[in-house]
Amino acid sequence: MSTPQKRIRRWNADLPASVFDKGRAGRRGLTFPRWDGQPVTVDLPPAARRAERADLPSLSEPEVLRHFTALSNLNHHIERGMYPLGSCTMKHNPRLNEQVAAMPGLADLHPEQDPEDVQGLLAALHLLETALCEITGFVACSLIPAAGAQGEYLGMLVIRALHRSRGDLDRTEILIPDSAHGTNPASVVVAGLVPRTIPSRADDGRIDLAALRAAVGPKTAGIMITNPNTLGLFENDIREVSEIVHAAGGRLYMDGANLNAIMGRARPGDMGFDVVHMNLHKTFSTPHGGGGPGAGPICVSAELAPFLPGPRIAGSDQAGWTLERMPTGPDDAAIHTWYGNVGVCLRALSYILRNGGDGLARVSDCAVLNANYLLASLRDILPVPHDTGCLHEFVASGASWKDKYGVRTLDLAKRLLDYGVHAPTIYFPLIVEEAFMVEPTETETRESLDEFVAAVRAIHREAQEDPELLHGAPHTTPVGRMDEAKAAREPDLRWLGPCNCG
Amino acid sequence: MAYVPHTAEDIRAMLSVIGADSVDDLFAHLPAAVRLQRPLDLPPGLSEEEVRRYFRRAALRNHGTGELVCFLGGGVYDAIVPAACDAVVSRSEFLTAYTPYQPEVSQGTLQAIYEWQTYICRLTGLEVANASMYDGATALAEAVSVAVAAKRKKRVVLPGGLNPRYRRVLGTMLAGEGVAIVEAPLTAAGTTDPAALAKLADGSAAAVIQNPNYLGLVEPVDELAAAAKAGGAAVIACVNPVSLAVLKSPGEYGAELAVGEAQPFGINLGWGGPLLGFLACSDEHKRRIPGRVVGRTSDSRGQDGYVLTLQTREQHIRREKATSNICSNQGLNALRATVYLAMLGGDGLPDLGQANLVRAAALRRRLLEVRGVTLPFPGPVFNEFVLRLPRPARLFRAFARRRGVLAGIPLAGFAGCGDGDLLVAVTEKRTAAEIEQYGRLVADFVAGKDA
Repeated sequence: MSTPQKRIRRWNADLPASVFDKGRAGRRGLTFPRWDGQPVTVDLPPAARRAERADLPSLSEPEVLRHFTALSNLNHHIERGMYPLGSCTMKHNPRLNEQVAAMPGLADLHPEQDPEDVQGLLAALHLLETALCEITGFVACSLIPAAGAQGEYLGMLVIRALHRSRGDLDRTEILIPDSAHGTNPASVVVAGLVPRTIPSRADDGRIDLAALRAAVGPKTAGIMITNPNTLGLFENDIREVSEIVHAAGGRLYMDGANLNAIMGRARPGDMGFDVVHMNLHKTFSTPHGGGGPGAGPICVSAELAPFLPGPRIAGSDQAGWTLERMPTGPDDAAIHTWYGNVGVCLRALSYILRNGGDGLARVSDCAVLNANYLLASLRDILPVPHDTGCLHEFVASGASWKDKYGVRTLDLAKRLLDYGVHAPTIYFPLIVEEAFMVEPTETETRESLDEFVAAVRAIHREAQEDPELLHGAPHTTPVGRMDEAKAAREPDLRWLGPCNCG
Repeated sequence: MAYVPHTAEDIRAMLSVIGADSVDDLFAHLPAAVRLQRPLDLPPGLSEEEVRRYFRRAALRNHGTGELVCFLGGGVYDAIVPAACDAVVSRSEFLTAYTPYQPEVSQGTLQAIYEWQTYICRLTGLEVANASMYDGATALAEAVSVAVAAKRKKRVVLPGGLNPRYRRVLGTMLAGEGVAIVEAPLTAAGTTDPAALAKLADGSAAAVIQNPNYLGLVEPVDELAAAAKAGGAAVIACVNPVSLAVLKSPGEYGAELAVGEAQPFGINLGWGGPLLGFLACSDEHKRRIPGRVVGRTSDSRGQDGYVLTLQTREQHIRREKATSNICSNQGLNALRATVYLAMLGGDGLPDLGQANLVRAAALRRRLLEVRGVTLPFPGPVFNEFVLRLPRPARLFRAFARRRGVLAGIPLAGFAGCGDGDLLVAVTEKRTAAEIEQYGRLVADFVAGKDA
């Protein structure tokens, strides 16, 4: 193995002025087709009109493109360097997906068109539903949730509808291990259910069966479990968990944020879950876009299938595809104006078709291989408290750096930015002190993993020789550490200056 | 393999560092009972060209607005998408970046969101906007939640002219919070009855005003806002942001919150998603709004910069005390809209508004020439209105479709509308020839030439 020399990477980017501080009256980037008909009188009374014109900067197209290109130069992104954010699955975003979603005949469909006009689209979306069901071991799918949190929310509505259909109105409690993502309890609350936290095992964050047995009862509507869990560990007792919860009358929801670890190896449906959501923007390679749009479809068991909201895609290529309302509910549930983030779904289907079943299994294999390789290469300086075999990510602890060198995980993370690597997720999950959560994903080469290891080792040396260097990091980025307290104390949330005054 | 770089030699070398004999060993701790004992039953992987061909063929079985003439609206519109929007959002720096949690290497995304927030504030006339919401419907539901929390009253007044799809989403999302919904009916003119709204506002946290309403009509916003405020209810404006080019801004009639669907700002229709909800509010609500908010602050080197802020109410801190589970937003679409608005500019904005007004007026004038049809609601509109046909609107829709025209949305069952009522929308894209074609189609239909 060659020894890579990880170097400090300098940014060459100036901070651009605000777009509201650019432009001159009279400039235009966008013009509209001239009205080529007879002149018409517009009947709009003064009371309906805005009195004050919105003050917007006037720019030409070249200025607009320079402005946003200058902004773009300030961003780290996957095509610049590694992005090992734990639990976020920052893998390569294939450009084919973008081409597909932008195709005429897919990008230009109005949602109020008849199903006859969108037969190819419905066929594609149905194919995606079928593929996601096979990957997760379920029988029915809703593509509507626009994000993982909406998938959680819809999953809760579906479980609630099942219980209500049986007159089981007292089942209102959803059990949530204390290691879960914060969206889990929030989604339960907005669904009108009651989250009940159960302790996870202190040593590895897995479900504590004794605590679970004590918690289930006639009020149990279900349980939400992230598997693999937030430490990157598989819930080995998942079948027992399923038996305990089902015996008590509850159902199992799987947060599929970490599905990238197990495709082709294990399926939620076979583990005893009843419903799962997937983040298409994680496992299925659709871009994160600086914070969205993503998509969070759910797949469910045969028992829960009747409770998915409509409209559902039905039919075949021979008979034609239709959109069907669901007779049984959950009532007339709707969580999106139309059918969710369809364009994101098309990107995910492009990815699934490109990989095939064997390719998706290889995705998970190599994601797990990469994580284990990094863990093995770093555990001597960054120990992993629950070192029992990670899957696609691992959570190391920087506690020893703090004790020995007075350097916190935050400092390590910020210094990595100087080396051209995005910081991993830090201080989550809370059960690991000075947590440093690394998810390399399968699309990183061995060489780039070696560079990451070299960077962490170089920073480890710096921590011993010059801890101040780390406390002040990052040094080469366009801006330094931000004054977040000031941002919250004196919120400055919009540009106040007048436009086009230059 | 498609996107996985590992060679056999890579895998061998990495396994040796790990101390494992095979990749299977890395999964050996999974209980046998849950392991999949067969390969996934999916077709084998395809080449890039084969995937492209699959989608090209699927697209050919669809008929979109690039091929047909679109008069469909109802919340999203066949608007112009400038090339600059595509160019900017396809830059990897924006496309493949994560949520800007590390501000030192995310200033591009952060500053763009701050500029989006500023554009939304200036259009709505309010002081604060967030980084975006999934769509207009979820933005409205979240705005109601903000008002419910602020006023400590668990009831909201919705107008009879609210987009029925938004109404359904509110019905679902507000049920979990136990918020009661009451409805202020429309008058014969097709706009909300201020007297009815005044009565219901008393004891309600908020009253929603959709302007223009689902029938396309401009609401008497001053009267409605006054009626709501007299009853102690917050005004939530639900608006098509394009209309704010010319229509009174929510800030001007004292709305505390404004939401809507910003799809017409450079976002493809995409069969209704991904869309772009926005949410703005007056200063007093800034610590209550859901989603992400960017603020300007300074860094350790004394430079100005941007950072995510006001996150204390977010679910990763509040957990079960959270009142919203919003996590991601529609970042890339907000960027599209920001580029669109930069391209449009202060001089383009009134032009955009006028282009919509003129085409709507021209189509209405043309339709009034057709004997046998009426415009049941003669009040002012922005870019959408109701056409009343003497026979079922769905038949006209099918007839027009055969001639390559998407005629509108049948309104039967909505707010007292009948079988003959059709919701018709124009945008700045519609030409005089297309408007004339629409008029002829209506005339032919009325004359029974659709058989």
